Amino acid sequence: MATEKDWTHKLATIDPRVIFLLLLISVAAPLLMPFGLPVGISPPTTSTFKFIEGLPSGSLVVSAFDMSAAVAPECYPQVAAFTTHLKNKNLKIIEVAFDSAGPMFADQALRDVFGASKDHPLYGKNFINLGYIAGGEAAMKTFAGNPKVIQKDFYGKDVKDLEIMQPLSSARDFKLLIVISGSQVDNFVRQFGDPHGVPIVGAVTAVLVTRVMPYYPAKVVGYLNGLRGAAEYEQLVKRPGIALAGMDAQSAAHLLVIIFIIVGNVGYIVRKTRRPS
Amino acid sequence: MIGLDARLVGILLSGGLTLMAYSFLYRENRVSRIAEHIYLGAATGYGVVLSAKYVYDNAAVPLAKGNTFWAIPLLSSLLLYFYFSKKHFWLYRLPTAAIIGVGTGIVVAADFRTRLTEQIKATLLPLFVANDPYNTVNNLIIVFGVLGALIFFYFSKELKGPTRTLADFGKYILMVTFGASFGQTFMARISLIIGRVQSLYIWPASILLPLAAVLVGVAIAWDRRKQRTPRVSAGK
Repeated sequence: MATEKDWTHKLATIDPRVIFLLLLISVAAPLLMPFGLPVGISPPTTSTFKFIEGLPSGSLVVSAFDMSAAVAPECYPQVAAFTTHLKNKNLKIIEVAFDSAGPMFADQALRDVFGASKDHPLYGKNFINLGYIAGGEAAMKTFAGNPKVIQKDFYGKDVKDLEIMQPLSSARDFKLLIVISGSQVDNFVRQFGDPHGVPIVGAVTAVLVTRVMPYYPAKVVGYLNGLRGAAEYEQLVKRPGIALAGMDAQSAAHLLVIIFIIVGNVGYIVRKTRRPS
Repeated sequence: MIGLDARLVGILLSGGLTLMAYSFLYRENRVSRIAEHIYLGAATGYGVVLSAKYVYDNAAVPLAKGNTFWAIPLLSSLLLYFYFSKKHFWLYRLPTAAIIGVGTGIVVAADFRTRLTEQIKATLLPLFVANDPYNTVNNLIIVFGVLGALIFFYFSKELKGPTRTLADFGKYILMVTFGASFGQTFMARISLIIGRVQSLYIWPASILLPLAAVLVGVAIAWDRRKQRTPRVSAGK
């Protein structure tokens, strides 16, 4: 039997706050002193990059912000990276949100990448922030059927007067839909991908990736896997940012948890073998 | 100048609220609860305002301009407020029924194609791909993994022989899937911590870090002192 002095007993009764502290150190230290570990680029990220590279200049791309503040540390670096790519390729960007927090991140992306949002001379010609559309999947279906159903953009401007909206009649005019989400992509495949044949890219949280994979590559042409996916994309667009800076911390935290799992399992097996039959 | 100050105040607020929320990791306390309540209140208020703005821009303004069609959804939505009336509660059910009916109709019809027929089609793969062992193995795992997982949940008859073997294979595939999901979830949570720690390194939020360290130290010392006191009295 394990006694109080036994290391397996100490391991089993360790204060969880010690683990929290170690985890915090493993994240905080590499951010101050990066090791510069290499970050490989996964096939779904490469597919995303290649698909956008292949779009003709001036093509209409929709960025659908189905994200809340809770997933911003994962999703926003992705948004900044691919919006930079869309800008460099001179593609037209229609930003729309199906989560109430989405428009402010859409606005932030325009300001970070273009330097301004509604006051930019290209606003309404090359990009637009349509704001939040209430109604969940019903709103998605309505927007896919007629994108001009929106009367005013996020800043209160009349949408019908803006040049970027003129050629639109349905979702079939979109050459790509980028779904930024922490909840699901199935609804976008249902309302945009299957009925209108719009190619979809997922800029999603790591939690959501296992639900995106069944659609890849037939329905979803590529996806970015959380912060890691953002770091990969930052490398591809040659715009190193906060995602790439966070990868050492991610690796250190993963290593620490792998050690925890191994030590925990060894302790469990030792306790089990010592137990009298 | 005002814009710059507002940005700095924003960073300081964001950093302060992050530390307040993370103080929960030491133990449940009022400071972390205040941060939670502020987050809930701000998020709800923001959502309500944006939803109201959406209804105003896209329904109320066109109605005021003479598009009477918008009177139907606007009046129907007002019926939702009968939720608070015991006498006329039945009126609340009318828009609710419409919302549920339309929502279900939109999802179910499309979902049948997206998540059933299209997924079945995607599983019909060749079990042998010439000169491509990688795809051959991949296809075998997908086809037999799906069959195994489905058979694992077949309860109408006792599974024996090859069906038992296939069900066991399906079980292992499910376990691998759960492991992958857990790994992805862990990665996501660490990414969130990284995001918050990165925000705390930005000045002026960084000045809060030593303050937080001192407060945690005081809390630990306070707790230890409290733990020691009852032991002394019990000894007496």
